[in-house]
Amino acid sequence: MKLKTFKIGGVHPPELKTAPSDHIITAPLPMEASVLLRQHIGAEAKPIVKVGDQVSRGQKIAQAPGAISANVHAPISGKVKTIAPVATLQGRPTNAIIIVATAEDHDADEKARAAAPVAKDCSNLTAKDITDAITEAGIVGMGGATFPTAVKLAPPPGSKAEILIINGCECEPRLTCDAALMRCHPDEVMTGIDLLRRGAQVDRAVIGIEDNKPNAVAAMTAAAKRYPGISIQVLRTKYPQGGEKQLIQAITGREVASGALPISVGAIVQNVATAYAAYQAIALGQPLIERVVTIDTVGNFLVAIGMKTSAISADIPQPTAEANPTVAAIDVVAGGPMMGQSVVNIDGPVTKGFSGLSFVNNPLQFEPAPCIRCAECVRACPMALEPYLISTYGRKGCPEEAKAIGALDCIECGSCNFSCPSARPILDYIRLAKMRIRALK
Amino acid sequence: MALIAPIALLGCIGAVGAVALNRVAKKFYVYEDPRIADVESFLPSANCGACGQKGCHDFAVKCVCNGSLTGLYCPGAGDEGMGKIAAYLGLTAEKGDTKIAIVKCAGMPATKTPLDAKYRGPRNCAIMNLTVGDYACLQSCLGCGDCVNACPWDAIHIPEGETLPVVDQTKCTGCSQCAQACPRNIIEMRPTGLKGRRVWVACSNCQKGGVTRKQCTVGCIGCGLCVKACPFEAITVTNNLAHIDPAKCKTCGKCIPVGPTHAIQYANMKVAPQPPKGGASESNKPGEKPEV
Repeated sequence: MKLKTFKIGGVHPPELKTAPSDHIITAPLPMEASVLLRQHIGAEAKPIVKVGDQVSRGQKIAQAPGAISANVHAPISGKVKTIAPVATLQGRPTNAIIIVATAEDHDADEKARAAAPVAKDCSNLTAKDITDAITEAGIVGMGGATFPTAVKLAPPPGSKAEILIINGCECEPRLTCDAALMRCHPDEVMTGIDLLRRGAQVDRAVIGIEDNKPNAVAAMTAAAKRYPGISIQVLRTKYPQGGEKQLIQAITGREVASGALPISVGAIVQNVATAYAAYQAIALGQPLIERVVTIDTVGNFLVAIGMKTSAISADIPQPTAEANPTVAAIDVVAGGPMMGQSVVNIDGPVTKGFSGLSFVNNPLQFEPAPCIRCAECVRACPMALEPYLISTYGRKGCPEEAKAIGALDCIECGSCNFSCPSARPILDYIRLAKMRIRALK
Repeated sequence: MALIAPIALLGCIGAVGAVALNRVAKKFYVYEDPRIADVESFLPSANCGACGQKGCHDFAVKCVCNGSLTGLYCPGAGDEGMGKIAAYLGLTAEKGDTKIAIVKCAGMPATKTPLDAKYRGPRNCAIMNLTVGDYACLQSCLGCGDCVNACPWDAIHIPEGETLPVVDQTKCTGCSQCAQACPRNIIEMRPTGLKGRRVWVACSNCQKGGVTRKQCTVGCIGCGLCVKACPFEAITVTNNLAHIDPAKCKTCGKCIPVGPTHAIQYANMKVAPQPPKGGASESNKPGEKPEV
């Protein structure tokens, strides 16, 4: 039988998923953590601790000022050293709370972390209990978009969710952190999915997993037997299957209209890592202070949010500042090679939306040849746009024209760049066009 | 014989069409003052928009139809071109408030702190500005030449082997196209000043002094020494960045040597050489910057 996948566009980049997903290495807690106040889409969280305060691991240190925001918790015990801007992996200074632990704090934290807490029975929680706990724990979408989860679970008045789709596709090459979670903690992820399902008050949940992860499929299928409403849907591998609209199309066959939200077709999409975080928050009482990240070719690590990225593993190469294209440069990318952004500051802190590091050998040097009008990008675009045209409008500074042909629908998946035989930086110019469209308002 | 019929037919259609076109052209004829085309010929046809009109034709229409040249000035044509227009129309032209582009950055690769990784995307300032670029200073020139591409006068260039754009003051008309193209807003349109003399702070970094120092050796650190040195109270420091008010500045040059990072630059002036103070940088010696 032919497996399901999304219909429009898509590409097949080399998978290169070399980081083993059969075990998760627990990285030691750091002595110093820089917890960014904005690790999510929306307003920056307001610090509720002062410089010099003693905080304990898991304590709330910043409060979300509104609905579209998220609480931030202390990943380690220690003293608040400063509240100051810290350079992120991309080099942009962002306000952060810096916590420094003493040796005693560190030992106590490690002991508490090693002692596995007993999971609470969650079978009689109401939907409101679940969404409140998720809000309190500061959980955001951990697939990369970092949209506050509780907001997604509570549909706007007048709309009704029918299906919860759990994104286990991990279509991005090189990353294996979601696969590792599904293989190593299938029961916990499944409990988390059940909690999300009850929080969203829907009967049916479908987990979409691509067919290049047979071990994860097997583990999740075994775990799903206990839950009658939850099923596994194996999908034919194609990038960008993990895109929200693509996944909905692949699983339900419904298309989300331009500019509309998934709830308009009755679907809510959450990542498996988000489900695991929901399990930890509700059953174990641990807010979102840790996540699993992939270090390309090395393995998967459970790391504290706020620790220095360079401290996760000793095998992380330094990004090269070499401009000479003949030198075999290694580009360190935060996230996967398709959608990730180059790292300029490898000491930047781990955030809630950080899924891992990829090391790209001989990164593309842009010596773009002229567009030959082959329309490979049009064929590859999963949103059925005309990337070459939008990029031309971006380059020439015509935001209104770009908007008229749907530039804002672009999900920046990079399929156009990948498919271009002239190695044109199509996506960069589309980003420019989108930026100029937003500047119009 | 077989050819005559089609030729005659086509000829008839042509003749009818010619008559119709002629009638329509007369019926819908719009009179345009012939002086508009003449005035337009005095203008540079760059359609840069510096006059505030929609283009050179629009400016010419305003010149002819307004009945006076008040509020109309084309920096591209300059005083000479405006004089010609005034003489042709029998009006008096206003003296222009001429401006010139200055680059508020003096950072060279040797003076700026590089980041761990090099930007590898397209050489376009606007796209590069979506990332942090190559250097720690987030207000410095990106060096990809969006301003060069935007200039209709060929007046701004990045010299071979350098990274900073240099304004050719003989060609710059002050149309501000480069300033609008710069994604980091480091190009300012400044009055040309008496005899072309002008003094400006060649830095846009608003970080605190210590941070600026770490990012660039020639950045303005907001020390305030120039404020004290200025006898005319023309300099103010806001957000750790000095700014010289061109309306108050008398181009005396007293502020130029005082700062430790020598972030103040000047053009068309002679400044008495001062003994360099600690931290003076080779690349930013006063007068070193070619402005011709």
